[in-house]
Amino acid sequence: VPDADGPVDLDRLLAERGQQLLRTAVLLTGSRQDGEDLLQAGLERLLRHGRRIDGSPEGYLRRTLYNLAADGWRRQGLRRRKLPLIAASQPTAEPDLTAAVDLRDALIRILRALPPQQRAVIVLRYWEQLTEAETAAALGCSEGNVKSTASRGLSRMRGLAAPWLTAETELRKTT
Amino acid sequence: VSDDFEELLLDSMSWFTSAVQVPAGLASRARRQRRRRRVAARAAIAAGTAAVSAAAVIAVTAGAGDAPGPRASQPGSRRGA
Repeated sequence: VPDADGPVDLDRLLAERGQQLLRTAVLLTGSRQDGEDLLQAGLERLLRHGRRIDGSPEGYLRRTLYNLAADGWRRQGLRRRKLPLIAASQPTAEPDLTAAVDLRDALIRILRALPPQQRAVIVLRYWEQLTEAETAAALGCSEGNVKSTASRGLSRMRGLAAPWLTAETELRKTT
Repeated sequence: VSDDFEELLLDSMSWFTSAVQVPAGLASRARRQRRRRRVAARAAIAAGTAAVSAAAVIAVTAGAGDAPGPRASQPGSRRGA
């Protein structure tokens, strides 16, 4: 019922951009269920502020998702629950995985373990492909902050992923 | 090496989210939640207004009680005369 949504047609927005928005939300939160909850919270805010939005509804929704995630939205949420293991939440992740899948799974686990602000910056820079300036504008912080946060985040991820990276390199050598 | 790692990260993100689908009814859930919050906010405002009104009534009543009332007849006044 578009009229009930004010100037924003939620159904159309979700039909056209929903999957991409949900993929981003899932990465920002680290799990599918929390991603859906985050997207729902963003849609609710879009409905609340729909008449006052200056610019595209999708842009507003994206900024809302980024900021809610960076502010540790899940930690402040009323329904905090333990996040399920990624391997358990992914039907494609079989126990007899190849090393490549193990590595991807490990990288996602490591990404999920980052603090919310660091994870948000990494997702915006490498998944959303935003520039440092765009990321800074979206999160309301300085470019320098984005640069240092991304650098620290990536460095930490590299360090934690080192065993998997080494194992994959060894595997490549033997095959 | 840095580019390799970033590519690997992007590949992992893509793999992890490749199967996600927007659940049916997500927009409806957001609308319901919005309505619920609006009703709750209105109820809170109404409750606040009622509380303030009640406090005001109590204050006025108590104030009226403290104020000097009609002067009591003094002994030896007209009635006693």
